[in-house]
Amino acid sequence: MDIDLAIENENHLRLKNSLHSFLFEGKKDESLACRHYDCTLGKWLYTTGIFQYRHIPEVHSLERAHTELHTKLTDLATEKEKKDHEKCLEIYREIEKVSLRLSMLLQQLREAMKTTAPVDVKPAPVTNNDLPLEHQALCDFFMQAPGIFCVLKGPSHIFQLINPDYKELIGNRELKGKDIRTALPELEGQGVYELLDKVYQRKRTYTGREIPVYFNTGKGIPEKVYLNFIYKPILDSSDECSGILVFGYDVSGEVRLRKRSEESETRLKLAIDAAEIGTFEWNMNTREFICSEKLAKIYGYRKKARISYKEFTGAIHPGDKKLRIHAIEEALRTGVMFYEARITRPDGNIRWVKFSGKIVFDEKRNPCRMYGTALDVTDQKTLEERLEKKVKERTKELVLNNEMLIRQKELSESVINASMDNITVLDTKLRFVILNERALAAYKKRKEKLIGQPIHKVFPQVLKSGLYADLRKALRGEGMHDFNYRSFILKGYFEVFIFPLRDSNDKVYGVLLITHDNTPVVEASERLIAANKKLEEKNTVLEKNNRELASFRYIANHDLQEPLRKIQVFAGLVGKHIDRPERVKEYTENISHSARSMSDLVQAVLNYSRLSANEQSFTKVNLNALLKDLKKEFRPLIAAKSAKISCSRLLPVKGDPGQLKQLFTCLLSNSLKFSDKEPVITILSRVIFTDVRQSGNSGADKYLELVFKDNGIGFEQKYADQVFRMFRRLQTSRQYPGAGIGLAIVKKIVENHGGHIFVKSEPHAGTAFYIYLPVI
Amino acid sequence: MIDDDVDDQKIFSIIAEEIDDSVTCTFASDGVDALEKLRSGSCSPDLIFLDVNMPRMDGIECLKRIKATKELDHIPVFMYSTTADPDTMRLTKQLGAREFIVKPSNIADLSAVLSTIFSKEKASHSVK
Repeated sequence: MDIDLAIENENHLRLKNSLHSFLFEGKKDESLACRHYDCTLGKWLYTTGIFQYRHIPEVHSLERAHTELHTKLTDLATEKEKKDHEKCLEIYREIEKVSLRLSMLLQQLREAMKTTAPVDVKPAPVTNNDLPLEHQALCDFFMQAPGIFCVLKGPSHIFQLINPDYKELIGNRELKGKDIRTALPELEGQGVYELLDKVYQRKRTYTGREIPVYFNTGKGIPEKVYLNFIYKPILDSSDECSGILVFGYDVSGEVRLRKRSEESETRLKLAIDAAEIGTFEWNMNTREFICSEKLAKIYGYRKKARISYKEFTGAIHPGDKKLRIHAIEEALRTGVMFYEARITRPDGNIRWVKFSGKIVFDEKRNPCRMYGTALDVTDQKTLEERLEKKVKERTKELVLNNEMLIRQKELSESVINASMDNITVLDTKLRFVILNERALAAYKKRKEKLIGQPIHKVFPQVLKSGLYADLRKALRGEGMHDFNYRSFILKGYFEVFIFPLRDSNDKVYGVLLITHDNTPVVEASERLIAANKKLEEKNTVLEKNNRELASFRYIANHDLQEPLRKIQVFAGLVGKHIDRPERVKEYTENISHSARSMSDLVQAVLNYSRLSANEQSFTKVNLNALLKDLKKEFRPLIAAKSAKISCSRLLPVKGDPGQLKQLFTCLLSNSLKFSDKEPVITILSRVIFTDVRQSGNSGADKYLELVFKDNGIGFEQKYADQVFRMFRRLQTSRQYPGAGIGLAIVKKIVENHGGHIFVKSEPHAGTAFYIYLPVI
Repeated sequence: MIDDDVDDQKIFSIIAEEIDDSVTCTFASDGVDALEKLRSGSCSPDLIFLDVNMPRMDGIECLKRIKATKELDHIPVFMYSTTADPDTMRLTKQLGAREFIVKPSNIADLSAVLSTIFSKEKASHSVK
């Protein structure tokens, strides 16, 4: 077969252009689908070229390049079908390279063919089953070469030659002499038989790539094997097909690997798709920029599938351009790029995009390519911004709240510290939680020593005093207010308030103890009470004095005016009967008498008023001696009345001798006076223990009881109190003269000595005076 | 005249005699004594002069008793006392005393009082 390589070169260049149109304009071209063994050049190569010019190395390179070109063209078509644009571009680039190589090789071969003669070798036709020697050599080659080889003869494809690898593949079955259908029945339905038939009939070589075939490899189940193979028809001298040469090799490994890689890639693509990540590639040397549709979408180009580098960088927000430059500089150093920037979409919207990428360097450490991803993070950014804003606001709120709380806390602290009372707060275990300044000062302990300690541990006195019990009551919810509490801790009197503290669930969480220092108040009130008592005592004295004063008034009114009146009257009568001497004498006697009684009265009253209780002048008084003296003084009267006086032995008393003498004088005098027969007077004494608090004012328990008894005229017992009153006379002054003051004096003297006196009497049955004087 | 004070008795009798020597005075020293004399009939006076402060039975009690006695209640009773206590004066008036005379300090006044009383009494008697 003859060929014009120059034309073939043109043809193949034309192919490339068709490809370009097909790729970028979508113009379909059937020539692109041409197989490497179907085009003119290919045919020539496989029938003539590689045999006749096999001594020229370019032929073989050409064959390889040519095959590669056509294969790639087919691939591209497939990828275009799949709409895998990146792959298309990749293949296209490769095609360009191959094409270039092919072109070069064609030229080289042309040149070589001009100078080199073809080897006149015709392939020996295979006419019978026995193979000539050259073919034997070929067979040897086949047996040793890698890959699976076999030679099939005849239209039913009988196995003539099988190499060991093939044999191994099919499980070492004996195939020689068998036709394919019999030898490998498992190939039924896989299209192999039909393919072999076609190749035999049409005398066209078939190249299969990565064809999956199931073989019985002897492992039981049929094994799937990926094969690259060629079915080449063997033509005899008359150009008729006599058999098929099968050559192939197992590419299962590569296929599986590739498939896995494809799968990963697919998954990755899916992931990228799902994540809405846009991808891009920037070739720093060629300035070529490739990006995914997603990226275009991010950039807001709905109709376009691609954006240009200009569009890519141009959309960056002016404010973020610097940021981007900086990130790229960083990336050129480190190889890793990462930045976030705003982009402006064609419609004016601003979006936040996160760019991340990797720079690939060549051997000289020069950057050659950048691979990157872009992700629209506007929503997150907005969210972030909103969140940040919220956080800022909330922080501000919290800061304000905090300030307010601090102020409130400071205020309440100031208030409780300003209080004049001790304020203490205890927890449910009665441990000190809060103490105000006053409380600390009062307890005289340091705060650290108190806080956290139970009150009954620090001050055990509270267990005895009852405060502990009250605090426990408070824990049960019962408050307490004690107006006057005697504190053993603080030494004094306090008004105590105990409040149970309840939380919002009404549960008691602590106890509030407020103590108000009442000590000054209590002390003041005690002083007041004491003062009152003194006043009362003074009052009693004053009342007594008043009574005496009243008596004095009475005297003035009656007992002095009386004699005075009489004196006046008698004086008048004297004047009237001046010429009657005996009358004058009588009247002047009357005057004298009245005057005397006035004088007596005044004297007695003065005596009485002079009687005062001066305890300082009290001495031990021997009553027996006193009475003895008295009897001596009264002897004339006693004799005149024929009175009999007997007294028992009297114990000494502490007192005023003068007053005591007066006392006995009065009593004796009265007894002698108020008698209508011979007076019999007895004085008895004994010591008794009595409570005379009701009348006496000394409070002593041991008393000397003196009984002064007479047999005089007596009086009705109902006057027993009256007789001691001043000027209360029960008898007519004529019959029994006297100022009527004696017994009053007696009573006063007895009282001066802290004693008590009362009288028992009966008319005509005598009188008995009972006097109680405190004994030393 | 009922009075425990002998001087007063003396004074009274002297003045009474001076005013009208036809007047007879009988004396009692206290209420008990007075009533005894009155009831026994040993004395049936036209006028009674009664002191207040007396032992055994005072003037108030005596007055009551006199006024309680049918035969005696017609006799005009004049209280004659040193006290000028308004309550006592009112009480005696209530009990039926004709007048309450406070014992005067000078004889002229006593004289005047008694003479008025005597002449009044005499006048009423003559009407009868």
